[in-house]
Amino acid sequence: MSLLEARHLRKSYDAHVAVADVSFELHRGEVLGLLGPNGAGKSTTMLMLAGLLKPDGGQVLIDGDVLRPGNAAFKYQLGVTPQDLAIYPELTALENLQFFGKLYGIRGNELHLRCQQVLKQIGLTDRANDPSRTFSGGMKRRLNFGVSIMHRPAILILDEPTVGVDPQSRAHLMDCVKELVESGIGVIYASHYMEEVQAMCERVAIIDQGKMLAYDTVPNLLSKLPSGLSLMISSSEKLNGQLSGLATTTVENGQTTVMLTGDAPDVNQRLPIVLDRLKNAGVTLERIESRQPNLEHLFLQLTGRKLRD
Amino acid sequence: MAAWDITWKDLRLLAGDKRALVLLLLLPLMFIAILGMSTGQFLTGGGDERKLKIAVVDNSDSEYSRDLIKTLSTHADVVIQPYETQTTARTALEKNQAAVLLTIAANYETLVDDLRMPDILDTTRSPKLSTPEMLGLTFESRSVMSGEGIAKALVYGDALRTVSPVVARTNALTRRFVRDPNNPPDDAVEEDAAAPEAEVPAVPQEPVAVAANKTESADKIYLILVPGFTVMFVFFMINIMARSFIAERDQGTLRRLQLAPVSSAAILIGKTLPFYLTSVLQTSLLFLCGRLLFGMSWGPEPIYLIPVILCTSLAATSLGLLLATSVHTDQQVSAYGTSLVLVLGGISGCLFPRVWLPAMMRKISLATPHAWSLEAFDAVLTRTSVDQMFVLDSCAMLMAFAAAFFLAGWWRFRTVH
Repeated sequence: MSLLEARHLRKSYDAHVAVADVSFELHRGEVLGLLGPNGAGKSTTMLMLAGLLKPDGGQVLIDGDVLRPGNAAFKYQLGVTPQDLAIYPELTALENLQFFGKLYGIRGNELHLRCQQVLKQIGLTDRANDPSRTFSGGMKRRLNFGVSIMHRPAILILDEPTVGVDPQSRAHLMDCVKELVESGIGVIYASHYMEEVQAMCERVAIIDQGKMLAYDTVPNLLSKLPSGLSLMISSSEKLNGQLSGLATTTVENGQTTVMLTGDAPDVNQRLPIVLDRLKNAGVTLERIESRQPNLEHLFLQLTGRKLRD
Repeated sequence: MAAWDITWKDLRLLAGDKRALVLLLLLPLMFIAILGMSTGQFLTGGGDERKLKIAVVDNSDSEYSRDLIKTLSTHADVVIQPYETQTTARTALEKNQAAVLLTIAANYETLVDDLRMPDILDTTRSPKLSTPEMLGLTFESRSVMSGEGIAKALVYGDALRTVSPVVARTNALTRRFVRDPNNPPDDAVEEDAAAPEAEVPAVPQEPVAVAANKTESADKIYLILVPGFTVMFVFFMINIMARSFIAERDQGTLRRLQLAPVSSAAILIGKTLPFYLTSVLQTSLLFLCGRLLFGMSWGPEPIYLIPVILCTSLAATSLGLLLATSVHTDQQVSAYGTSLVLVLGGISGCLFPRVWLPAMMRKISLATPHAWSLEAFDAVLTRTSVDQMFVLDSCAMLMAFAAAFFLAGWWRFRTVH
């Protein structure tokens, strides 16, 4: 049984459809990526998963039971790191952790021990008694994350947890998430940083304009994209369709690119012919790049747009 | 338990908010002290500062005029300042050393001697006594707020009091009822005088007499200032409360509270309670300062201040909750919150004594919790005995306001947030 399941979630704000039909499953010890540009519907989906927003249609199931807003039992299972910081700047790191820990019923010695544990985990033991307003952006993000895991949730929802974070804090956060996943927690990781998602997640759901465009494991998704070579040339005007059937030509931002896609033997066979024809047409070859498929390419293929557009 | 955790957290944050503490505690004290100084009650030279100062030029210099001045001098709230000439008296008026100038005409004695019993018995239709000017008593002042009207009524009343026995002595019928200061009356005359009491012409009552059931200290300005400004500043709490709520939302921590296994009622109680406790502390401190700094009376049964303070704070913080759940930005808090506080404070009589309000306005003001609070404070502080039922009724009304505000705030929170 899946730890969390989203079934045909739909949500509209007046005429605007924020989430059209989103379905996926999350298992224990798994990181599921929610990938999409800003405004794709990720945050709305997350709010519905967290029980803060009632879907217009569809259901969220946790351990097979339908999540109903206001049902406190589900809240103990969910930990949410919101996109924006959600900590008290005037309270110290320790006080922030203590306060939110208490709201989940952790008290006394258990609270003390858990706070020390989380402080160590997020690397803020030395700054435990400093007001969080004195922290750097990365430290605040780590505290924001620490607050979400105080009550040892079974499901962790991370909404753009690394936005505006320095590389050191980003790496620290990634390590924390990996550690939690190893302990059996299921993580939903929403981001528009495809490198992060690709590195962290076993499976990915790609969302755009409220719709789910793809949902599969990362290797399966990438296998749908061709690999190959990109030849950057000066101009395609003199080619007059001479590369037809051998390669595709694109022009983007003034740069003309000849793309040879396919498996390696096939590309190797066509490459000399293409180079020969370019030479004969008097076209200058500027450089050659190897093309490795990634989620950015997949998104481009699925939507015709770049992820950060 | 979660509500208490939220309360404790907010108290901790509030304690670190120095601007809020200044607004809640120091500002009302400053207002009270400044107004106390303005009215001559505090640090500005004692009681005479706020008394009605009447400069008197006695051109008559007769037994009757001296008797009138002596009678005027007996009023606790009046200071009589005799001047030799009109010029020196007018200079005093110009320099604000006196509020009103009373000139007693040189023929005052003659005018009094010309009076007859019918003039005394029916002053309104008397051609010699229907106004003080007819007796040669004229008034001057520099501004409309000088109290000339009060001075006029006071002098006219005292003139009637002093001339009535004089006129009565000239009348054969009434002579025997009048005491001769040189020859004390015998028992028979005393009895006769007492028996037909109903037939004795009524001497006009002192026009500025204090209501019978008020305490001696009721006229002290702090019995009006302290409750008035306390109630107004208790309601200033709504701004700070709304700002705290907006900060919670803007920081994203409100969403965290909603994610936690805490009911919306517990969140609202947790967010309201710290301000309620602060409000009770604020009110208690202001009354304590009123007592220690300004010598303000707590009334005959100070115990009744407790329910009034508790219920006033309850109504104020519940209104704060409603405001907090109704606004979205700091600018809206400033605009709506401050307007609400000032308008409600003005309507209800926080800024000036409620007795000054016209009857209709006083009725309208009862639509505000402030008015019920002020009525209750007045009942506790200024009466010789506390009307317990009235105080409890007022407290019940304040609690009804609190319940209505809280429920409306809760509904807003559930639907909007």
